[in-house]
Amino acid sequence: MNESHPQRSKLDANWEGLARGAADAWMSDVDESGSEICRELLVFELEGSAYAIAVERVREIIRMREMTRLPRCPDWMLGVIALRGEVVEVVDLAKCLGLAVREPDRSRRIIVLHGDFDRVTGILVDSVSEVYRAPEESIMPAQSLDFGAVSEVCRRGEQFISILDPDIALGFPNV
Amino acid sequence: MAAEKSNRKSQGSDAKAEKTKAKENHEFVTEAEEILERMFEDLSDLQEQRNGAGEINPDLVNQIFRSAHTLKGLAGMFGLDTIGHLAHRFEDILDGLRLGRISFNSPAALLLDEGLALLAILMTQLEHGDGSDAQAAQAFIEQIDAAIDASAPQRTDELDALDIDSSLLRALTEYEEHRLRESIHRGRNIGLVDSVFEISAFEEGLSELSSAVREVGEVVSTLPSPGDAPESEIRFSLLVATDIDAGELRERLDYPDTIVQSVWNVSGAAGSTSATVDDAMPVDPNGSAGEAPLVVDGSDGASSEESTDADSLASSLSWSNPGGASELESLRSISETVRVDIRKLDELMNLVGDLVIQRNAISGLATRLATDSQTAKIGAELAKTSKNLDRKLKELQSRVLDVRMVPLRQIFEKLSRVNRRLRRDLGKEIELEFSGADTELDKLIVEQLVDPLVHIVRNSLDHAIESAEERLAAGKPEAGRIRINAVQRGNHIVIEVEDDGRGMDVEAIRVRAIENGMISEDEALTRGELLNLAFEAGLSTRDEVSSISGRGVGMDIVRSNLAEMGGMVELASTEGRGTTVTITLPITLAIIQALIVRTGTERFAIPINSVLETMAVEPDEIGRSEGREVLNLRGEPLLLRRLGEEFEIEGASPEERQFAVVLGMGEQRLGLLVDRLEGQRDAVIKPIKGPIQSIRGISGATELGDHGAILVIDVSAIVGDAVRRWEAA
Repeated sequence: MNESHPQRSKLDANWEGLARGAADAWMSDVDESGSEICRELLVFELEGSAYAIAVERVREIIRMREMTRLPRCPDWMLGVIALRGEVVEVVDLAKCLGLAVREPDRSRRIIVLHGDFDRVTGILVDSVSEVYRAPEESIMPAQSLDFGAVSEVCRRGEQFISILDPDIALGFPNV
Repeated sequence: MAAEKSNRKSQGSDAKAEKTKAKENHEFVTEAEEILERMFEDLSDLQEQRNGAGEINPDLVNQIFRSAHTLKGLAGMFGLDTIGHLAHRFEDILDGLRLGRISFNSPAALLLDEGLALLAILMTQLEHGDGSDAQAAQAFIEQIDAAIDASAPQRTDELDALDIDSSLLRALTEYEEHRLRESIHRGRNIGLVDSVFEISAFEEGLSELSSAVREVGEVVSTLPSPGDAPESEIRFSLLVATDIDAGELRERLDYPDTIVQSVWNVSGAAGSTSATVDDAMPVDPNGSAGEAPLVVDGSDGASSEESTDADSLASSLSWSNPGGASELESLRSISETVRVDIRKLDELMNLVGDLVIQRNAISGLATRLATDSQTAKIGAELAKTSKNLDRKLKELQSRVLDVRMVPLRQIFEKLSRVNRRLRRDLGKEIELEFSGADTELDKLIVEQLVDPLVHIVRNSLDHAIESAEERLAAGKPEAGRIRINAVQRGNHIVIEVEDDGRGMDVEAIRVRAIENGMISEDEALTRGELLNLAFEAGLSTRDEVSSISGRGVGMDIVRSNLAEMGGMVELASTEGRGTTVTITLPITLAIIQALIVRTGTERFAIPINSVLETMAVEPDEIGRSEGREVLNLRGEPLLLRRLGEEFEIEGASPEERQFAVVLGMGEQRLGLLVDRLEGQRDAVIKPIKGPIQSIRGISGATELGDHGAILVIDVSAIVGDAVRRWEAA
């Protein structure tokens, strides 16, 4: 079914424009036990669209809490929160991705990500939906929109989920 | 000598000399213990690598070699010949291992462990003043020598095991021979590739073959080989070391007129397999075409046999146990201390900090309960409990801090040694005096203080103290004197390094600074300002450059190193009389006292040790000078900066009464205006984690009891920026 999808070939043509890191993710996370190879994704909502991040990168999900503004920072930097002995920066993901932004409200969630080198970052999202085991063949490389923050797309029935490469999504504003 | 020491008790002649000796021995043991511990660790790593299938890391061998070398040097410095000799034998063995002269499974290599244990025993004896068992050491040294000799001939054996024409072996260069041995040691298969080329095209053919070999291994040697080849052809033999087996090698080297022959494989069965790739070529003696593939199976086979031999040899050579229970004793630490990774202490400290925060939350809760009439009684009880908790926490906090604290004596001892070494090299007689060696500082600060302090003392030794003739001519005592004095003042330590040398020539500094374009010719600078130019990069007032110090780098690094720890350094000097360098450092970096201030809705923490004073300031008290806001502070203008402007805070109320927090950094002053002061708190400064690495003016954050984070102001950045802007205007 995926094979026949008209978008597939278009996406293949854009393989060259693939963000770095996507290829690594492509190779890893192979489920050796089952016959079907799946990737576990944390799916969340942002401005009405579905996004996802590899579960391995997620440390925890917390409620929106009081934030301390960081001076002299770009507007996508919301500030810092105190989290069990750590002080963690929280990034407004919608702003990072160039989406329209509403005022933050209490129902939103912070996904705390961890990466290499003891890096910890919080990203603010509208709501967290679920952990979805995505069959590998439903995942396709994304067109290199934006700056490659959305590295892949997962097709789930009629729905498309944008898979974020957090290193690029969060690293970009740093450049 | 250690041997003479053993009968000192019966003599008791020169008690004072004995005491100095004992102190020196202690000094040696403290230092040597660390080296020994590192050697123990490295050696056990080496052991693991030797037992595992992997290759032995040459860096590790080098590292142990360096440790042994350092130990030898140290022993030499303290005149401890026995230990020095032993360390020297260690070097011999390790050098042999390094260059492949001694095998890792040889008896000599196995003696390293025992030797280390013996060293530990010798050091215990030194520390306890029992007199060291020089005889045991001597016997052991002889044993090592014997083992080194025994290890030497062993290596020819392994080449004998190769199924190869001895004339070929004789043709190898020393390096090629070493590579060959090395490859056998590492369990590689050795193959002999014979190939015949047309003379007209042999260079291309040979290089093609060689590069094919290099893809899977190493060409140990390329030799034109004898053999009945027609005149138009030439035959070459390539000695090849590789990890793949002969069958695979054959497939890889599928060239015409080429024979691949195995002369050694890791299971030790040499020469039993060989085959022709091209039937047109003469067939090898056995002719069994690749039926028994070589197997790479780690360290089994020949090498394990070798080690069994070595084991038995080592045990048969085993040295007599010096001094009864000392072997047991060596398992215990010599001094009764535990070495702990400073990071673990940091974690502990952070935990204590977190507890303090929780305590704050509890006492807040108690206050809330107490204000409600219905819960007032419970609230009061909770407040009492919280106070007790508070007391215990404070105790815990100071105990943990205590653990991090080490006396400055450690640094002073290092400085003594530097002095001993340098005065020999410089030919100057210099007395080094210390006071305040028991003053304690955070271990982390002490570690970072060593280099700057050594640099300052070297500077004094090298530049400041004159030669004996000069000193006598100036009416000074022949021997120079450097006094190092440490004293605690509140939350700071002040260390003074005072010499009675020639002092600093302020005019020479001015001239040099003008030459370097650091100041203009007509610039009027005070004496103090000129002296402090010595901390700028590229200013060295001595004309010649010596190996010890004085390339004009150094003092600027000293200053920046100290600034990193929140410390500062100042100079005072009287020409002809001497120079005093004063270092001021915070006692600890882990927990600070912070002043909490508020502007608008935002709160910040300011490290209290940078706060000179605070005062209320009415709007009409603020004056202007050169476009900047200033405050008349006891007749002196104080530069002001509004926190709300500095950090673009919304909701600041500049029209109302403000509070000025007077910040001091070195000689610079700045009044930071804030809306409110909210009291003093203990703060554990934590790094901010996230994509933004650093923010100018913010040094970190701290947690408050109500789950919020609060930013800590980087005082040196804020003050420095404000003063620079002012001066630029």
